[in-house]
Amino acid sequence: MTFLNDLIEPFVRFQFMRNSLLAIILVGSVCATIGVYVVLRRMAFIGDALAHTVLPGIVFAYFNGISLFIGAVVAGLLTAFGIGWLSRRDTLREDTAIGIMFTFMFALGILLMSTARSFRDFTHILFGNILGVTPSDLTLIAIVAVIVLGTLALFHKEFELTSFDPIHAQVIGLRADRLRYGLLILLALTVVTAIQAVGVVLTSAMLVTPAATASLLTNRLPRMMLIAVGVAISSGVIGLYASYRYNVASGAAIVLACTLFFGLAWLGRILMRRLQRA
Amino acid sequence: MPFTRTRIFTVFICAALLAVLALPVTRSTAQTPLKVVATFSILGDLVANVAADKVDLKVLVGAGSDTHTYEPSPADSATLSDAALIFEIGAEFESWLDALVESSGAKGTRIVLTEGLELLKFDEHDDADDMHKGGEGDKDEGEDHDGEHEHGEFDPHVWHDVSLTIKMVERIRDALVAADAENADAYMLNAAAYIIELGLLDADLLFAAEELPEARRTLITTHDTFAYFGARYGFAVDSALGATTEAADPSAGEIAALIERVKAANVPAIFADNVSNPRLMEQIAREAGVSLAPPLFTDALGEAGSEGESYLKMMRYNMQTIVEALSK
Repeated sequence: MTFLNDLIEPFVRFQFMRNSLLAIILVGSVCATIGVYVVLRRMAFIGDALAHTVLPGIVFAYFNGISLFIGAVVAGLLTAFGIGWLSRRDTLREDTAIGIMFTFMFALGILLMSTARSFRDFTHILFGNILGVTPSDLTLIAIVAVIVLGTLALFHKEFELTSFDPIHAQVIGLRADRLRYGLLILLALTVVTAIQAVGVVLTSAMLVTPAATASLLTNRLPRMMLIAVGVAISSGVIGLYASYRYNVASGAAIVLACTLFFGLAWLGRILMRRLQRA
Repeated sequence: MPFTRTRIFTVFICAALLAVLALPVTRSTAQTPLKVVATFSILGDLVANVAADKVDLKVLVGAGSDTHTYEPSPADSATLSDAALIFEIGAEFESWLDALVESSGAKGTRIVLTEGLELLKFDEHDDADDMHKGGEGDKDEGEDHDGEHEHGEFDPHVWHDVSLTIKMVERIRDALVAADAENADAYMLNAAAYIIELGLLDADLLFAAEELPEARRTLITTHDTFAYFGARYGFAVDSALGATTEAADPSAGEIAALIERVKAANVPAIFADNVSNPRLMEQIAREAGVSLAPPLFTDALGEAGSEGESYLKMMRYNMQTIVEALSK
């Protein structure tokens, strides 16, 4: 019992710990769920890429006095359309399209930035920290969570088929390109909202590692999503607690907890194979 | 020989080339002012006040920009390689400067303004009992404990103590006089006038701080930038993120400890600055039930037309904001 008290003490005592916990639960759920598609479609770098492609949007918004978040969302959506368009009908692989859009948009941002005499690190103005999450951030993530999870639930059959078996999907007449655009738009919304609330590294990690962990343990999509969300939320709780108790960086602690889960799943899989062979 | 289009074109090109070649010759007959570089906005303002219109002054890191996270451009390299004098704060404040000087092949004299000043060391700030009055014997203790800041051992933010700024202005004056004897009189005169203004500023700040009851003189900011200010004007200082202005990833434990210290210090307000994201300070203020004062100017001047567009204005604005926020 004392252990349990010890565990919940920081969350009872501090509002900021409760905000951080809620933020990581929301961000973790959305990122881990959509992350399953990210992992299946081999576009693991989309998170990091989107975090860079928002730069021109932020700089433009800053110069014109518009909300930085709006600027970032617009740039994120443009990136999504760009990637979707470049990789339509398999002209280019998605990861190549991501690479091209990522460097193009980032360079555009740098160029815009260099036109201003006074240099600012614009990304630092927008990017958040898990410990600095505000109530309005929480509302925003919650809204995006509802939109993203709702859309994924509504079209889960279509997304599942185009991700697992694109050729079969084509044969039965699914509009793979449209679904790709849809997924990219959802990703852009998720990533932009998540980075302004909790930062880049945490967002990228939440998008890939929990889903990768789950993909080692099961082949069934709904179960994979549930496991991924479980891993994301558990790492969030463990990481935040460790950050409080042992005075270590919070974002890093959460990512490491997540990687630990992945390592365990990896080991588990090896052991299972050994047992099956024996 | 017919005048073909090509021929006319060739003549035109030759004429243009000659004109371009002639340009530098005609220019060099005019007397060129001394080329001077200051690394960042605040230093630029000090140099400008001494040099006035006698030099060609370029400032690398402009107003509202963070010198720590600055990324130099090729234009900066060109600027540096032309400069006869390079004014810098030193103490690893401009961590990118050594590489830039080397790569640009700059031959100018570097004047490190923190040299010869008695510098404070950075010290630890994550124990509940270490909120300290500056200048009370902590000059040589503590050390760079978390290894995450860009700075070296010593705190470079000397300009927050006006008496130290006066010493820097004297060095700027001496360097300009040595490099450009022709305009020595102007430099001496400008510096003398500016030092009088700075002396008045210093006195005003000392008086303004006296308005606050001693128990209220606690300054809690985003970064460790006010140690010299605290030492000179009698404030205890504490910060959320330590010395770095990088996108730091603090620990929940440190933030919790700071919230407890803010509550214990019984201050009505804490402060954000003009070069970093205020979210973390907002969170801490909300949690500790204190207000977050308007941002102070710490590592850069404000944009032209703002309350912090010059060093004199910035220092007055900072003190006024602090006194107002802490006397509520």
